[in-house]
Amino acid sequence: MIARVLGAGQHALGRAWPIGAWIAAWQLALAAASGLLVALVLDLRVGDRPWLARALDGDLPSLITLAREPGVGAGLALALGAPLVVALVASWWIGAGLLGHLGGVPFRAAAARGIAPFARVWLLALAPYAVATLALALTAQAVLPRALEATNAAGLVTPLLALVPGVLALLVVAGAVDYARIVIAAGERRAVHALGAGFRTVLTRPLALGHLAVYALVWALLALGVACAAGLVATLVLRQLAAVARLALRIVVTGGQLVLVREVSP
Amino acid sequence: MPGPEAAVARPARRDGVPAGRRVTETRIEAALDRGQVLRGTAAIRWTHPGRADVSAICLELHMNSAGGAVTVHHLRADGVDLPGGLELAADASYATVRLPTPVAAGQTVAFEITFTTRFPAAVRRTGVVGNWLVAAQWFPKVAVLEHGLEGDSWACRPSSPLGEFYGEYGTFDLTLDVPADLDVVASGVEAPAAGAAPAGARRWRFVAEDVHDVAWVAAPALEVTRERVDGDLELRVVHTRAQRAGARRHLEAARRTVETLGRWFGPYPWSVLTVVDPPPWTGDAFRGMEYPTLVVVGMDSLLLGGGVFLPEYSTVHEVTHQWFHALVGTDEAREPWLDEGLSEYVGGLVLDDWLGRDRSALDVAGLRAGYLAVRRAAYALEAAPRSGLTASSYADHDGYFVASYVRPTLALATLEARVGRRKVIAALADYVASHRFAHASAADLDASVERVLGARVAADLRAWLQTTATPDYQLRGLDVARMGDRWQTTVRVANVGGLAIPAEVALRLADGRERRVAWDGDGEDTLVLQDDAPARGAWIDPDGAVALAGARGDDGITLDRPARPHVARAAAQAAGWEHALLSLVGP
Repeated sequence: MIARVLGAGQHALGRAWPIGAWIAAWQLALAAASGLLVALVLDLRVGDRPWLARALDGDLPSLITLAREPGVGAGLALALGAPLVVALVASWWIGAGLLGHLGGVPFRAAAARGIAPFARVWLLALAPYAVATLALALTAQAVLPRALEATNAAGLVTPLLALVPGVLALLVVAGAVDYARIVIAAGERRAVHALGAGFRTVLTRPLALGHLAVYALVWALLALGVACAAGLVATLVLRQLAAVARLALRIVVTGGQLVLVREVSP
Repeated sequence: MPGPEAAVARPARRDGVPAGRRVTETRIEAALDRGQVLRGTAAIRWTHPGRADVSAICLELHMNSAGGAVTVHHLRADGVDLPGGLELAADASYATVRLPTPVAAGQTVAFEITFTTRFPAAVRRTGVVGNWLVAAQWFPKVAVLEHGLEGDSWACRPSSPLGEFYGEYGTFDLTLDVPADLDVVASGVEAPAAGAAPAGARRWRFVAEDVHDVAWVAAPALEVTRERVDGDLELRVVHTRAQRAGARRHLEAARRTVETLGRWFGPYPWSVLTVVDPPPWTGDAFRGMEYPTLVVVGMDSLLLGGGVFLPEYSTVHEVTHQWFHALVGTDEAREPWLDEGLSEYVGGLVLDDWLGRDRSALDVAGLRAGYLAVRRAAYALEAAPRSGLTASSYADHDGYFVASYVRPTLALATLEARVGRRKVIAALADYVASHRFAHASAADLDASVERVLGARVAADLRAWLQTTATPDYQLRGLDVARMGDRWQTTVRVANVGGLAIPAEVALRLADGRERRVAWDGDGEDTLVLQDDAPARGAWIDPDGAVALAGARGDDGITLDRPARPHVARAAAQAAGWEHALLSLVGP
């Protein structure tokens, strides 16, 4: 079964890589737009302040001064938040199109048909996401002081293990949303039913959850690698490579998930 | 760690350090049981340091207001029983003892006290957490008899949760029987113990000279990381096995502090300095406290890593107290800012010299901050009460901290920018030299500042410490006009804060030069400058020399956009992080 899932993922990548390339370009454009907005906010609001260079060089007191300037915090939040909202809405359209394409339906037709139910699934998933996030946050709040007290690696193990249930809960919700989307792409229009089917798949098929967990782990490792990179240019190049790798991995995972859904469908 | 049987006789003071004034000579023999109760006897010889006869003494029993209890069972003075001679204060943190006969100045009285101390679950730096015991303020102690213009008076007052301590100088000789599975470290040097401990216990002996307090720590499996400095000073960090990495950081911080302050204020006078690093799971119960020759530090954390210099700060600050509290004995309850403020400021200088002025507090993930900058941020974020109050006057710890630690630090840093670091250190060195092994007050510091830096500077420092006001500079306008073949720059400046402190105004000229104009920092003003090049920007106090200055958002203007390359880089970084976030919400 694992071989079939992996094979399906490879096949999906072979079929959908041009769509992946478009998605990569789209994300890059959004990120660039966000950067441009950040530059505009800084330049227009505080570009005439002599301490700005120090703040942007990482001088903490100057950064505090920057954060206290009227309009800067809200402007930066908008510059970084608006592209994320746009990307979220677009992801419903793109996700539906991608799944349709992998199932043999033209991208645009599948995207147009799927965007509304995908949005409803996302809205429905907010509640379980909130519960899982709250559980993780409460656990983190409880164990963070103990993690900070650790003076060697062994002392970190117990607090980090305490976070596992919360992370697992988030993964279950994310997996349920993924499988709900596949069910919708297969023709189900009712978001509640689709999400229910998604939860059933994740909770009854260990492979479904494990498959997503591997993806999440690789995603986290890529993020960690980028975070540890030194130098602006190296970081920028690494980020592009990591973003492309994550996208390719996403298509591979989606291909595998399609096979897994077929396995559990009556 | 080696037990007392391995101890060898060694001097408590370093070579060439003369003995200080010794008012008390205290010998304590006590035994700790497993219920954290200590039973013992204290033989205290007290020599009247004042001028007028006294008919009563004050005995400090601070443990009674720290959640535990110290009970005096039996008290004798010069062999005479004093039944019922103890008049407890309302909070039982001190007692007045009526003497059978008045004691004249210079006369010595020998007290014998039988006492029991019950250690509490530690909340105020003394007591028990898990299997760790830190014993501070643990025995009946004769208070300080002060001599003022109005005669002698006992420095006896109810203890405050915020205030620390004050003590009389003398010698201490402790013999402690402690459960055999516990190691013990204490103020002073370890000495050979006479006799044998009862079954199940180990006997420890410690001797301290020319100190005003002694504390000790008992815990299992203590390790010691040590280093010898200048031949006759042993620095040691006491820690658990899991804290070995942190111990090396504390040891280096202690060595650098001792070396630097030795150059500035005279050598560390005792032969041992013990830095106790309790395990982080003991939380705030013990860490961050100074006793003569023994300090308790902390803030070890694997996650915080090497770029967050909290362990270094903790050790440097507490070790600095060896000069500003152990050597110059100030009253931490009455004038908490005096030892805390000086230790905070001087400790900051040590950290700046060691780690760099722009990163002495933090240098991690592209963020960096100097020690002084962090104190400025703390001051900006916390509404500050006035410095110079007694500890019990402050409503909460945050106000106490900002007023006693931060404001004096910023005031001294402002002074440093005006007269230079060398002169500030010289004034503090005069203060230390004038009051070695003796008590001092804010008036004594004031006198040293006046002696070294002059009356006007001393008056300014006094004023800065006695107000909560700060300068708040604003650059209100920058106009450039052609005047013949030259350019005239007009800068409108104002100080809208309640404290006038002179500041420089820097003008950045179009040809890349910078010119500076002095401003008295008082009210509103218009500064005019003529030059061959027009000004492109102006900034009040560009070096942050006036550390007491408040909000800095509107203290400068540029007519061009010199930070644009920085903005571009920040935008590129933001785009990179946004890209990573987009893959989270992506299809």
